[in-house]
Amino acid sequence: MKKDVLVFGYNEYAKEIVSNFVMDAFHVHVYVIDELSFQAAKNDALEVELVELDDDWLNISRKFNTKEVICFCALDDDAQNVFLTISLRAEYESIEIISLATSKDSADKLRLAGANKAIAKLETTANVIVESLEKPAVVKFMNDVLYADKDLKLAEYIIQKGSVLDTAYLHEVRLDKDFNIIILAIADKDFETEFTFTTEGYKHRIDSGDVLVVMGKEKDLQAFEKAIS
Amino acid sequence: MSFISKHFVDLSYFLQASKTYQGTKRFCYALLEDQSYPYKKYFDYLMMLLILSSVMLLIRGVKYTLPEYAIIYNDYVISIIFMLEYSLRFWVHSSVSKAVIQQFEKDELLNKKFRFSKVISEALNEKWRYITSIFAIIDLLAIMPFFHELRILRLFILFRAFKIFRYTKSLQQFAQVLASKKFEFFTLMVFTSVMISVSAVLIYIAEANNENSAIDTVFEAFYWSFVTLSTVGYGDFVPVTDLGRSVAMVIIVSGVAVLAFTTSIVVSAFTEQLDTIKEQKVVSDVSKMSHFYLVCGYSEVSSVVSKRLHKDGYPFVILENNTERMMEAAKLKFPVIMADPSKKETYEMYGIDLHKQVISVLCLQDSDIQTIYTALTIRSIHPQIPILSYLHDGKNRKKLNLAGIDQIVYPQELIGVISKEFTGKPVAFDAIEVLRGQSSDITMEEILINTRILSTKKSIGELGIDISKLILLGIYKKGEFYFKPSENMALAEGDILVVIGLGIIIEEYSLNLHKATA
Repeated sequence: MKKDVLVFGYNEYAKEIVSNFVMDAFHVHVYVIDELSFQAAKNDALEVELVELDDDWLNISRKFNTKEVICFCALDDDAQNVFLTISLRAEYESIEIISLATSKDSADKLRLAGANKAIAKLETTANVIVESLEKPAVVKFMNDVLYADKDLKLAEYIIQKGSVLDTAYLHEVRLDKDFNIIILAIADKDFETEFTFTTEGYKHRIDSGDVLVVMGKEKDLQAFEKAIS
Repeated sequence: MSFISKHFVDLSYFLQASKTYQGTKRFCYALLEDQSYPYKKYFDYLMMLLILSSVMLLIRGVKYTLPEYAIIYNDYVISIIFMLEYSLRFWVHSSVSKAVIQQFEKDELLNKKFRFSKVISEALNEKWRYITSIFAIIDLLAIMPFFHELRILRLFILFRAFKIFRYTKSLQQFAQVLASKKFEFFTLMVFTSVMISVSAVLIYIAEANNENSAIDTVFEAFYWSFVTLSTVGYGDFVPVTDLGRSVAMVIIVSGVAVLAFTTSIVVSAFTEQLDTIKEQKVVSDVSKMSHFYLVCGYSEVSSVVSKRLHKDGYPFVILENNTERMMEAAKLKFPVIMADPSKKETYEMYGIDLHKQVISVLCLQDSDIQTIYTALTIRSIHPQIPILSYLHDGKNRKKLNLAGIDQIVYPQELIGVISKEFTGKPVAFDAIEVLRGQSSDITMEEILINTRILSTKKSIGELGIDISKLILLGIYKKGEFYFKPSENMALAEGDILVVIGLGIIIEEYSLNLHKATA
């Protein structure tokens, strides 16, 4: 699991991201481009650095293992965020970048600029609002599984070489019943995700390197992980 | 109090207290006058059908002999229905008994002698106002053919055509728009009348004694003036003298001016009233909606929310008091009312019934201050209605809770949590994104267990989810979630199944689940 988190910008969104990671004992380093944000982060006792947007960003690789860090581009301005994302990608081909965008249009630009994940703030919020009207039980369930500190969890496991599941067919292994879990999806090495209830997913041959997305209670998930390792 | 007054008051109390009488009157009123009453339109259609059939029979009767049954239908059946309608409108127009009671109680309170004659005269005045209204006069004239023995009264069938105005809203609006320019039309009419009169007199003086001129009488002079001023000019009467032709030149120019003036009045009346007409249309549409989501404010987020609701086919109404934003919403054909959602009068003025029509309220305004103000207004009207709101500043969360908002969406917090979730399990996160997203065929849905399903399916095992290519994630029972419930778990009314699968399969499965009990 990656332990170094680099957050660019220190607005309300960035603060929430920081607090979530700090809470889980990640090492968080904040980069800001203005004095005000610098002071705000400093006041919150964070490790903060004042930088220029057109810096070459080489100091990141000096301080961190770029394969082990995750970058959050959360600057206020979409154009600046795009510029930052493209600068980071130009410097580090494999660094993981998650960027925030105001709208879906900006999110598309961020993806083109090389972000692994672009979160459109407006659309994400609107989707949550509409879903809570249209499907309240589904939203409650999602919140319980994803966000609330409940027993029920969503986990993912990489199939290692030599695992009991290596080369097995998903529909042949009756893991669901044995461990009281639900295997939702499987992603192959190219990260093509197939859901297990689709024909493609159902007939999927598990290979080492594939990722299983599993839902279940914590103790059942632990037992499952042990069994497949 | 005199004997008659006493009995009148007794009778008034009796009528006001009578559920049958009041219920019948309310029903008649709704059917005749209440645009929001769902069955009124069927009544209107019926009346329009009667009117059209009556006018068609009149036209047919000009050259052909009508069969006996058609004459009976036209002279008696339709007339009696119209007479009944006229009487009912007269009845529901105002309440004499209510006026009597109000006056009686007022006089009692002030320790005055009950003024029976005063209240009766006021009540009759009110009824007289109805009788002398344009629509009531047309209604009365439309009944006249009933007295068909008087041949002249048969012509009154034509008034039935005017009755169409009463039942078609667009014609009523047209008349209202023109009525807004009463003064201009009056001025034009005076000018036209003067022009016609003066030119008619002049042409009569110039042409009447000329042997070659066809204009001989005053009537012909007026007829010529009218035809010329209207720029029609049939040519059956033509001035032959120099004076007559000079008059013609003047009146032709005036005629063009009159036509241009008339056109401009009509156009400007419509331009000025366009927004009002549009708003009236939205208000009328809203009053017909049985249930909808009320979106307060048309901000950036409510624009995206409205698009989603519109796409998913959920009914909603937007309240926005900023003209530019209102126009933006209107451009996308969203039902939007230009009104302040934080004012109580808005809901009364636009007939929005929070108790009956609104499923839940979305406060998506630009600031937490506006949100709180709106939420408190809504809470003061309906203490239980679900309110969801957008939180701008995390510091205000408690204030929003205190304002009675049930569900708060704080985007910063949401994005923070999502970001963390992505970091830990990117593949799982992507899978969940697919389930949440709108672009994929795969979705997560809820199915409510109702009595219809319960009549044949008693337990989880009987639902047959395993063979439907769906995954049952769990079931909510009285708010508690049971993950992967066992096949023996009993179902109860109000339980909610959470399933994932292809949207089309879930839809079909849900339909079959309900259909199986039919």
